[in-house]
Amino acid sequence: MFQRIGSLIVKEFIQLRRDLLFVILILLGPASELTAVAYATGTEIRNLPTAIYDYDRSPESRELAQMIANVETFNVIDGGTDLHDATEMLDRGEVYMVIVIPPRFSDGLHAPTTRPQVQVILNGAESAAAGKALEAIEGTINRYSTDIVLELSAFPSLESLEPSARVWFNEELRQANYTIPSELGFMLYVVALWVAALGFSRERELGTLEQLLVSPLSRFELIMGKSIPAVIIGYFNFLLMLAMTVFLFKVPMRGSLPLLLVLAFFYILVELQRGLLISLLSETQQQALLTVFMLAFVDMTFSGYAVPVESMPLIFQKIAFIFPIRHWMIIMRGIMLKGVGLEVFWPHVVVIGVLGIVLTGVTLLAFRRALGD
Amino acid sequence: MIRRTWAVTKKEFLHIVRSPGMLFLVTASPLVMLILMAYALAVDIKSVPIVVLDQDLTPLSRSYIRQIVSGPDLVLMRYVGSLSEINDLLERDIIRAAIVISPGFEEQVRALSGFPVQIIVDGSEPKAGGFAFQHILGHTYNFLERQALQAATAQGISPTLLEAPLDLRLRVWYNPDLKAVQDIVPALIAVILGLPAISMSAALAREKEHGSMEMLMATPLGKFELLAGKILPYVITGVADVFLSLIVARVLFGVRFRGNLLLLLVLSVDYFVASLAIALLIAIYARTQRAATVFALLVFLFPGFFLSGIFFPLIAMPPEARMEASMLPVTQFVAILRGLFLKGVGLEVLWGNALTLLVMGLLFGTFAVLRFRKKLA
Repeated sequence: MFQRIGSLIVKEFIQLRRDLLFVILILLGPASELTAVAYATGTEIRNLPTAIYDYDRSPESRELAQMIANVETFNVIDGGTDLHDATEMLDRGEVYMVIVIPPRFSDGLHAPTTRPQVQVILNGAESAAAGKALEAIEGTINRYSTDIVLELSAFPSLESLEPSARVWFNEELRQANYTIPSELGFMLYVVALWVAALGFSRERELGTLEQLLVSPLSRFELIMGKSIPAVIIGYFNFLLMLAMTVFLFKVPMRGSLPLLLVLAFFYILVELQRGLLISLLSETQQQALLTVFMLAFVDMTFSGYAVPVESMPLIFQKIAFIFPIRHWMIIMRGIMLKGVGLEVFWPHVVVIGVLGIVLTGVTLLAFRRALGD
Repeated sequence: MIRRTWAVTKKEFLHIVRSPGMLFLVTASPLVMLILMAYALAVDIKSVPIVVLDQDLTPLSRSYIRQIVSGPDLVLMRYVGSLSEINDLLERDIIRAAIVISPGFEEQVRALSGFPVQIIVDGSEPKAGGFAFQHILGHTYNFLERQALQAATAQGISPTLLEAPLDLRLRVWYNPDLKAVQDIVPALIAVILGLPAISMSAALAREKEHGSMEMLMATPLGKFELLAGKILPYVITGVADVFLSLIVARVLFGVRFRGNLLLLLVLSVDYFVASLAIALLIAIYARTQRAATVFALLVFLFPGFFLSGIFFPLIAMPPEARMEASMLPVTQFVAILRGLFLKGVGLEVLWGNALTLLVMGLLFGTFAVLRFRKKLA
């Protein structure tokens, strides 16, 4: 039996060798993509171009402008002198925030009855950047006015009254520590799903499935022969990307590496079942591939890369529950960033296990239906 | 020539229409994806769960906690009794932040000698953690301001002098309520409409794999006619999907289109020609469907999500990465759709993006026609 499975695997790899472009892409593509993405989105949102129009030109207004310029989120650029220029720059997306300090700002600051205005115009066309800018400018203005209040009252300066803050698991709130494991997990799954989804649909489309069926291979051997190459390729990708994540992108690895390696293997097996299922249900490769694409969109969503799953509408949180990637992300971040083990995330391992069993059952049913017994 | 091109187009359409799966994938699936993903992804973080460890248990510490949970942004799950409990809740992903009020809080704050409060934030989910942190700080500043006001009043300083010394007039252009749905939906349309290019890559590679390409080669069709005929059905269904997406965006998500519809038509064609030209080139180089599609996946799907600026603004990327991102058609189309939907601007602003797409289409298209051999290997 092992010999027969072995020869099927050899056949798969011979066919792969003939399709060199595919092999290169499937082995190196995800890793190179991970590099590009880690590089592009690894930093926090900062240096948003900001134009300050200071019509007061007093020491106080300059102090406020300086305070804003010191915030890492903003990069103060020359907006010219005319506020009309700002409109065009906003339209063209060259500036993300415009701050107008009106004339007599400092007079108002010292007068007992007036409150000087500060106008802020935000570019809302990119809500992620605008949200960040809003948070930062509100914080800055808040601090500035708290400072004034404290100065006028008997309170000491804000520094001595600042609460102390500690960020756990990711001390600098580094975005990359979150996004890179997300991408790693996502690409790992796409590769395994991809190869598996093509397993049977390709043979069927090319008319070679019948030949395999009339060969002495049993159904079980056939499945194994198709699955093992997918697992090997998927796992190779995982190891390569994990090494890059830890050594190149410096994402911490605080928990148990062996545990992560074992669970990753287990996870690939579960995703493999989904791939085989697609493969068995699709008439053509094109159908299989486009189904994987659509699934990838959905899985991408539930990986929490763009938006935390807990912020999604309740119904989506419920749906996310039956997607293995959702649980896998929690496990991976738990091990890598939090350094926790099974004692904390065992429920997620159980869910993946149950999903795996159910998927295997459905795959076997589909297999009997699709290939006849 | 037009007649012959059209004949190929008709043949391609028939292929799509005959297979129910393909028909769904090419026409309806982008819309289904758009609806699903917009509901799931175009959300704002509204509230995060926190816990409080109050070791002071004084009226002042309770008043501070009341201030912290006065808005909908921070939800107090419960009071905890120890640091290890906080540790446990953070590890289990149940809370995103915790506030520890040390003994002597009231005393120190009344004496203005310190503020013995520690904020603990879960950094493993930086979006939610950062949200919690900023909001706790904001509430803390408000609390301090109130304390300062009371102290000043007690000393006989007029509170009106102190109350909110600055008047922040905030205006958000293009998206007044700063709702994620307004800019995510137009961008999602661009990303999802990478699907036609992927379908086409696969379809073309399929003909190569099956050998039916050879039959087409034996016909009197010119190279250009053949390739144009292959591309056209996907341009047409793609453009149709853009306009259907407009309706979905308006009706389901309340996202208004402020630009010019004719310009949208022209620029959509521009986008599809550029992305399909790249897809064509991929299909010419790839020998099998699986190679063509994995190539397309790496060029269209992943970068669409990660590099197009949909969730992570281009402006915040390092310059080299921004360069790389600008070379993807989807990045240009994201900018175009946001410009048209949100800002209602025209070519005077979008000409750069339109031109980039045009150059890409011409360049890759020409290259594809040149590389495509009507002969058998």
